[in-house]
Amino acid sequence: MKRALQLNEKDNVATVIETVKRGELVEILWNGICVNKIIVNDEIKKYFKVALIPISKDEVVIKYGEVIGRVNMDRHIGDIIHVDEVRSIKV
Amino acid sequence: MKELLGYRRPDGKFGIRNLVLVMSTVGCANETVNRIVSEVEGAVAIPNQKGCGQVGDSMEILRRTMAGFAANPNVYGTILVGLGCETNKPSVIADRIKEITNKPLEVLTIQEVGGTIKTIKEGIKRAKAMVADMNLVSLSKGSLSEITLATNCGGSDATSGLSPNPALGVCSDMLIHHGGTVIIGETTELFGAEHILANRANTPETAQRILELVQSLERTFMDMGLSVRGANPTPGNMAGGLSTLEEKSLGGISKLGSTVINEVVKYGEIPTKKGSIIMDTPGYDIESVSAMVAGGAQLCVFTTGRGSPIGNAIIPMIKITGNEDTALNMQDNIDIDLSGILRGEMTIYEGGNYIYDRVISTCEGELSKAEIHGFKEISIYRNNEVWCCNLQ
Repeated sequence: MKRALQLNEKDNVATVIETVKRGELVEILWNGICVNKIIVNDEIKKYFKVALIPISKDEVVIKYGEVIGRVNMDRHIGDIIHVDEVRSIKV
Repeated sequence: MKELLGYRRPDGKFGIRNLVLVMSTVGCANETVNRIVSEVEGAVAIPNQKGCGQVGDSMEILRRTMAGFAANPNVYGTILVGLGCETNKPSVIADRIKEITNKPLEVLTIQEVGGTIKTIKEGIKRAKAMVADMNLVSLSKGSLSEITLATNCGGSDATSGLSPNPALGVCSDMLIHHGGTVIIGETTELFGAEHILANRANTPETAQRILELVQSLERTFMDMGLSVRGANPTPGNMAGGLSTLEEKSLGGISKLGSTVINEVVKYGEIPTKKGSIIMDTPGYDIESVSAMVAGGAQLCVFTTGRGSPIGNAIIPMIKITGNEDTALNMQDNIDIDLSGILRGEMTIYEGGNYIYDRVISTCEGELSKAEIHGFKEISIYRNNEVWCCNLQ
């Protein structure tokens, strides 16, 4: 099964470590342990991010346990989160 | 606690390598320095890119950094070689060195000694005598609390923020837990994460200094019509999966781990505190690492995505990557392969432990790849260049 890395327990996104296709089941690894399995809703390229929980429009995206931006639209579990979906707060 | 064996200096510092520096105060003396060092095993050349025609902050940065090189714990003693008429006067550098260390120091100027042949001959004589004294130093006990680790990244790619940087953060936390010191630099890479670093500061004053560090540089860029925030992440970063400035910066600062930030220091300045330290350095790797060497770091862990060959004249540099292609293609230059993290075979915590073990074995004498190659990069940042090129 393909895998995604969660870097911090607070994170609401994980980084897929190989490209996954829409509908594929992905194992979420945190500290080497599978903590979750989710079905992805989009094709997500290697090292791109996937939502681990539903994130409503304007809510924050968390990676490394810190805020990396706000989503521009509602995101569901398994949705891709990249430049079209998240905006910086610090720019 | 883990005990180390190394070199106790007369100023009390603890070195993990034993070197005599032959340091040029001006570019005009570089070839003289190279010829002296070519005849003396155990001596290292520290060339100077300028040393004359430098003004304002640039001169102060040069002097502070050169004094810091001489005071670095890995250095037994220094022979300064100058021309004589340069604005970076050898006697002034010698005084700056004496302000911060009482280690052996000698000064030669080509114009006073009487040409390069006589200076080379005199330099060889004095450097050989200093190396002979250096080799009489017996090993002494030291501890991890005396170690300052420089951290830097270069040739970064999508893997950098996912595996080697956070793993180095685990190592940083472990070293600091044992009383040691870790320096992070590359000020432009802190943009977008300055508020997070400020929240980790030991005092409101340190927090303010972190914000000022980023804001003052940003003002300078904006005066030049440049936007660091707007330019990051770069198109290449985005193609690699990075979405926002904050995400990119968090990947970079993860090298520093999670402890309280105790001090912000200037380029090449020696910290007065232990633990996590931020130093104001540029993005150019060789100038950044050189500043941390002047700040007293005895070794560096350098994270890379694409691979980097650089070494340093004064300290070992341990290269780590999380990119499996780089680990294979650049195995001449990579000390630790952490690509197992992105294959799901190794945790970030395990990766951090590998780095920590290598930091200790390097302190005990294990050679890094860059040392085996004999790579001795060194470079001091210069600003205030105002001498020409205003003609449009």
